[in-house]
Amino acid sequence: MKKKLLSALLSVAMVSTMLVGCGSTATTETESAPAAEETATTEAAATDEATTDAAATTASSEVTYKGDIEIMHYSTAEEENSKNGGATAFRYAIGEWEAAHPDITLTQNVLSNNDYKDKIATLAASDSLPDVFMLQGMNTANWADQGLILDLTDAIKNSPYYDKYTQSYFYAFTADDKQYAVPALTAGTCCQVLYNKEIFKAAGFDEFPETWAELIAAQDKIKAQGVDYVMGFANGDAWQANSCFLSTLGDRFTGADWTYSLIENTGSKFTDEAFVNALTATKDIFASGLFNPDFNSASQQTGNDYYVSGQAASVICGNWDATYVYTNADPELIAKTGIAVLPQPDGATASQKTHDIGMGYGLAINPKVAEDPEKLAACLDLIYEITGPTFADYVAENFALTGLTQTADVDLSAFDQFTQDCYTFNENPGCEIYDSYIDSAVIGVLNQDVQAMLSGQMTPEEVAEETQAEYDSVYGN
Amino acid sequence: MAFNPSDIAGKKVKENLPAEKAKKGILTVILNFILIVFSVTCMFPLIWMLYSSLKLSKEFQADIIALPKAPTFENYIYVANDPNSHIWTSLFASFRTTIISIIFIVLFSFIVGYILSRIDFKLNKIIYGMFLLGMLIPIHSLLVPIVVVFQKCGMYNKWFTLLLPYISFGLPIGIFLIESYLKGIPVELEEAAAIDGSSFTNTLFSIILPVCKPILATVGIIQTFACWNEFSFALVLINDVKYQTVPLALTNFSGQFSTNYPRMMTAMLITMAPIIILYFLFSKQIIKGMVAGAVKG
Repeated sequence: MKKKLLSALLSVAMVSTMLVGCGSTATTETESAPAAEETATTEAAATDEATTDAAATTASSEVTYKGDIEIMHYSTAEEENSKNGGATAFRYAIGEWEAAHPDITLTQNVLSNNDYKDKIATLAASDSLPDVFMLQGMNTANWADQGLILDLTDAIKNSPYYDKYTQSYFYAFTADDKQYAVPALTAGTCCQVLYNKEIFKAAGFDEFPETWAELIAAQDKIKAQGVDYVMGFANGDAWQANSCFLSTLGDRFTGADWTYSLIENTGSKFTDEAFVNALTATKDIFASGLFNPDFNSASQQTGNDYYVSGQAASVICGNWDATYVYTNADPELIAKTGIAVLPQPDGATASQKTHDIGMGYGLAINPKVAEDPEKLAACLDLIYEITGPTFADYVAENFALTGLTQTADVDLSAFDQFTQDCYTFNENPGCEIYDSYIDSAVIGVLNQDVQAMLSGQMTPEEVAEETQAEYDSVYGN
Repeated sequence: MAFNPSDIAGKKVKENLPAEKAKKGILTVILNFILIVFSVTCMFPLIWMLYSSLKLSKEFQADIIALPKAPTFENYIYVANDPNSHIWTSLFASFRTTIISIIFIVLFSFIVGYILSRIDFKLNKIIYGMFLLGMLIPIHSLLVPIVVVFQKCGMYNKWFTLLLPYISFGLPIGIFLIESYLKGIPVELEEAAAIDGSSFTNTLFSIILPVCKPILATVGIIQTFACWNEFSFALVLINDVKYQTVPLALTNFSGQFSTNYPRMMTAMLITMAPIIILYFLFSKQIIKGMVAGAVKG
């Protein structure tokens, strides 16, 4: 009997380990995506003028289309359940539009963000993109070159909400002075420090330290307050050190002009001294002992959990993490959580108190849609509505977040101090997020190399040189 | 029953000397310890999933290993009822795709494997080699061309879309295993059947097929797992929620920056259940097939 029971258990275990293995396919798949993207065999056809005109003329006309529209996005139900403001409002706005247009069958293809990126890259490579989809800023120039996205410059000008748009957010979706997408979801910081005010006060800081030197010098005092780490951070997916740290720290060394010149390929180089200094400062800061030792392999959630569970006195994160911390932390911890910008590194003089902020994704249209002007008008109407005031008002009222359109007189009094602080934090001077603009192949190299640098396998100079080499080959320098 | 190393030789050695006895005892302990550790590492993920599915996300995040303090079936109720997770439709789609694929994989592999192993013709080796090459091509390199072909042929995003890639990518391993297995079966079997007046088809399906049952089971099982878990083709070839298979439906439990793990584990357990039941029903056949495959293949 015992033998039978044991063999049954072992059998179940064997089957289950085989089945659980299905989770890992997603990870391997992720690695393949850039390859699929690179091997794109799609004929590179310049966006033809006729479709541009169609977009312009139909922009403000009434929706008369009856039929199917396919939209692909990554605001999953799970995002809504975990109280992600942007995703919740996005799903709400889509629902509202769908209800207002009963003659149109809106097919939504919703995948988690990682899977979305893989699928959209494959569809782009096979020239079979859906009618409306989320375009990542870094793909704009490349996809526009291949004729995969419709030029929306005039359509955006004809938008009923044009006057309310925050124009700077369009920059990520502009190539050769043409705009290819309407920024979607929420505009939030990618780099902020959440910290336990009580612990820092006990260590002698009324405010969060303004320089890294001060913070590093005080680390023993801070750890003496009963925490394991001064800061929590997670770079397991390799993009966090870039998006949530280096984009801001780099700006402090290089200033905004350098970044714009890099985006427009008008002279800036990754090998420029200021950027190499930023890399060196990044390396030194991460080697100073402030962080959780597993920061280079920890998942985003783990990084936040160090703060939520009280193991870390602070955490460096993006606005989405603030939502996670808010939802998962003890209300007592939230009440004593302050928000600060990244401290200033030694020798950085180009800017101060900046944080990288922007909208990484925008809604774009497949140029094939322009063959049917009525359908195009419907797609544009859909985009106007789900990026317009319906969305922005919803996130402002329910989550104290901002969207593409400006919402006047947001009443913050209904929110607690933490949420109010998150909202007002965005008033700090902003800077650009590298991976919203620079080509994905270059960002891929930069991300991997920075991760290798933080684990001691590369020097800042090597990172700069390798990234510049990729940049030169992609941008044809 | 504990594992005894002296059983390996198939005979009991006289254990008179105390030193020898002690030696064997130590060896038994060490070997059993290794086997127990290995078994635990295999079983723990399942047990962990089982009890974690009874926790809520907050409790899970606080301590991912700890047992649930207040076990709840909330995740099960949510997964079963939430229209966004569409777990039942995806289970149906997975069943349909897997069952049809397996029938064709086993049938085609058997016929092709038999022909390649028994009939000597000019292109035999080349055809066999081409089938085997199928195992060497990484499917990720084929995703884009397959999407293009399916779009052009109007086969994209249909209920039968996944059948073709699953069957064609399942054939190489099936043919390889069956062809090797058949080589170990004496030709005299077919010769005797021929003398008795059996036709080719009759010999194939009434004489050879029953003999090949263990290896056919192996092919069926390996491919059931492969089809049930397949993700890449399902991701790029299917858009409609009603055609999405289980691995795709599971992605609905992931957000961009966070994942509700207990809920995802619950969904995994529900979607694993049919396969586990299948395994229990056919466990004898499966083990036989695995051994046959290992020895002959």
